[in-house]
Amino acid sequence: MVRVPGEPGVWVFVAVAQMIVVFFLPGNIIWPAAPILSLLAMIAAVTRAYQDAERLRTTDEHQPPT
Amino acid sequence: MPENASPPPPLPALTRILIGPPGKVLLPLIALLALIILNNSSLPGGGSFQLLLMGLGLAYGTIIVWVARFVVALFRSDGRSMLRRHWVRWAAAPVMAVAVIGSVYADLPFSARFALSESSLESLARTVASGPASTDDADQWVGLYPLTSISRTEDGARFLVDGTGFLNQYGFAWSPKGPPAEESHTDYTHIQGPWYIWEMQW
Repeated sequence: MVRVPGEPGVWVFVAVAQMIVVFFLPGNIIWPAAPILSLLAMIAAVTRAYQDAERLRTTDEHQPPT
Repeated sequence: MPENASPPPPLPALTRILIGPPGKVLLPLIALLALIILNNSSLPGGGSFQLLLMGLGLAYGTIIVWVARFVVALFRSDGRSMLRRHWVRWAAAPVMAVAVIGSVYADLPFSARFALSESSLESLARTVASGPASTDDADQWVGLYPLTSISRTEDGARFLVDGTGFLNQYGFAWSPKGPPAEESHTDYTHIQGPWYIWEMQW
């Protein structure tokens, strides 16, 4: 699976930033677009978090015992 | 695990939260949102505008966080095992949502709060209606409502509920001889028996 770029924290920030847009710029396009963007950014953050956890687990399994 | 193997490195806090089941932060926030919705729908006129805004923000955040975490967990094999292991925590939010939406749809919060307060409100209304016309009683909690602007009307009494509405204010009117007299910037909606919702328009 394609590795999601960036860090989970950055994607969470992108998701939260849409709330500011929704509260201060209401409109016919922004209202449906901002929640969808938030959701997509959150999905990216969670996916990246799973990938990081998997990579840490794999690295740990392949490390020779000290 | 071999005897001399080092423990796996700890995951960063945010990563651990994002891949874990809903827990100490998300579930209390959803419960808080449920309480805000129940409180607002139990007040005449829908409760305070500030609480409504706070509730909207909370709803926006919690729905997006829960849905994103659930969808990703559902599509990953390591996530599905976590879903099965912690299914109660995952089910808590949708169960709360269904319970709250169902009770609001059936108007349960308003009916329950009014029913529990009705005898106290009626007792106050009778006292105010039999008192002098010009007296305005002090703000007070009666039943489960914080009342303000308690005053006598032509055929009964009326009082506003503190913290309702944004520009308009809402409360109750007790008028046993029929609908209260029409006034400008005022509207009455019948609830049951001698009770009406009093809307004081801005």
